[in-house]
Amino acid sequence: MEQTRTYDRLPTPRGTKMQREEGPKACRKSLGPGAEGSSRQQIAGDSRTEPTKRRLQRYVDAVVRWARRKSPWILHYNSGGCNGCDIEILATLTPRYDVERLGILKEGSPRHADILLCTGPVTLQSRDRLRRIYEQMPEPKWVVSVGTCSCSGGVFKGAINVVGSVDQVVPVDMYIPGCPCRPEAIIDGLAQLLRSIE
Amino acid sequence: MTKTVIPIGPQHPLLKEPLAFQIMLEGERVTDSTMRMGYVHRGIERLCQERTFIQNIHLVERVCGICSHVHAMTYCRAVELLLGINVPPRAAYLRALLCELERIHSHLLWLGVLARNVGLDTIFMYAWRDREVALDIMEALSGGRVSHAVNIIGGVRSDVTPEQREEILEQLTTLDRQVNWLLGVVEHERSLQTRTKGVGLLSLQQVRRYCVVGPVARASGLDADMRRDEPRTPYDRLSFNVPMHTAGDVWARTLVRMQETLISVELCRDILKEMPEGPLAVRAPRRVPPGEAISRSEAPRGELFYYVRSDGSDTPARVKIRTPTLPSLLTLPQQLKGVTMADVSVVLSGVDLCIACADR
Repeated sequence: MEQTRTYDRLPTPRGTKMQREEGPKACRKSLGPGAEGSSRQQIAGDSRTEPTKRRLQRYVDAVVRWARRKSPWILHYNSGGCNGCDIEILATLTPRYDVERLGILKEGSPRHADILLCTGPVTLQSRDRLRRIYEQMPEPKWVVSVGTCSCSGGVFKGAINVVGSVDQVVPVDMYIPGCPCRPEAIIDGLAQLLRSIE
Repeated sequence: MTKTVIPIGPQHPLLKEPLAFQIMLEGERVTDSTMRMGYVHRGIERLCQERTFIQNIHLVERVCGICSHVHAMTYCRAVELLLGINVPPRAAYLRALLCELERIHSHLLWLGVLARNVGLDTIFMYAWRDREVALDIMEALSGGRVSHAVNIIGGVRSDVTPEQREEILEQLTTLDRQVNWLLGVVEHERSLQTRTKGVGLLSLQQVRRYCVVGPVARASGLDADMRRDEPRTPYDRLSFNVPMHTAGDVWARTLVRMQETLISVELCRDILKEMPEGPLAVRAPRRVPPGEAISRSEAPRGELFYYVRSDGSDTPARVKIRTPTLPSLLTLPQQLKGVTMADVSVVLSGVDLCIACADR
């Protein structure tokens, strides 16, 4: 209480000691309900309930991770490829391969998608659009580059209108090579990505 | 009426590949539309000049993933013309066999995409399931589902063994049955007809003006098929019909493509039965004499044209590719005029977009 009074008497400018001290407390408070307090008693009270909260958070995190692994929604963007990998991606949705049985759903909007499947090398005109689509996706997000051109530029490396591989524009989490990669390879790549999410 | 502008693409669930549209609406009707292409432009024609004639086979096969074989075949044929060599008859038959299989797979793929865009996911699933049979045959023949790499200058690389031949004939029977059934479903599916009849109209005059080729032109009454008009080795010995319709709408295009698929299955059978014995390839020299050559063939989407000029070195001086999709893509603003917003998806999928081909 003494300290609080000291602060009241001596107003400190913003961003100095007081705020820095309140920093971690404010963070902790934001997890739970209730208004922000500034007294020491409230801080003490928080630290008593903290283990319960942390445990709860851990459970919630586990459930969220599980849900993400169980049902990833994929978005497909062709940034300049030849269509070969695109039709193989579509073939994974159709009866013979049927990734929907694994909970994978093709989604049309970047705002609903978890995984971005990129095919083809990145052309100059596609570059900004690819970056924009990546930025439109909500966190957490993963990018899979499907096909040799997408991984390294492939046969189109050195073409006048080609920037190069997808990882020169957006960060890539999984590379699936092949020209075009088989549906089995795409499913395996996605399965490995999902395993790594856990 | 309120005027609205709706942007479509380049990333849109309707399009597998990037293409951007600005659709101007007045109420529910499309009054005007503009198109922006070039998202898939990689500069392949330029890249062809920097690589050798042999490396280019690999490159032109990647102009388009759906009709990869026909690109490589047409290119090889142009170079063979420059070299003045003739491929052995067995090689010509094998090339034509893959060409027809590619047509089957491309048309079934298209039917699936149209059905999905119309909202009939069941037909999409059935069509793509049946398409896998054609892909299996191509995989048995060449080792690749989508790109085959069987063409070399002077012939082909892979052969059909007698056991494979019997197996393929059996698979073709399955394919024939399934495509026939699918055609029956499509013909009796009233909701598909309601969505596609009278939509995306293209008159014969417009087809001529825009130089549209392939199934889109044949659905508007233009009787043109490279296989029949400029017959090459297997086709001059085979008899087949060229399906024709005159309505010029998406429904006519559906019928043309489905009937073509059946004819292609039949052609595959004839090619396998009449395939002569003999070598697969002749030896071709590395250096190509100076000169120029053109080569044309019927890709799944229409006439494919290659122009190759050589200056005597091991790289071509110029390779010009005219793909069948570009003219039909350019008719889209015409076709979109006057349709409702809900029919835009039908019009866009009706011409069988292949932007990788068109942009190159």
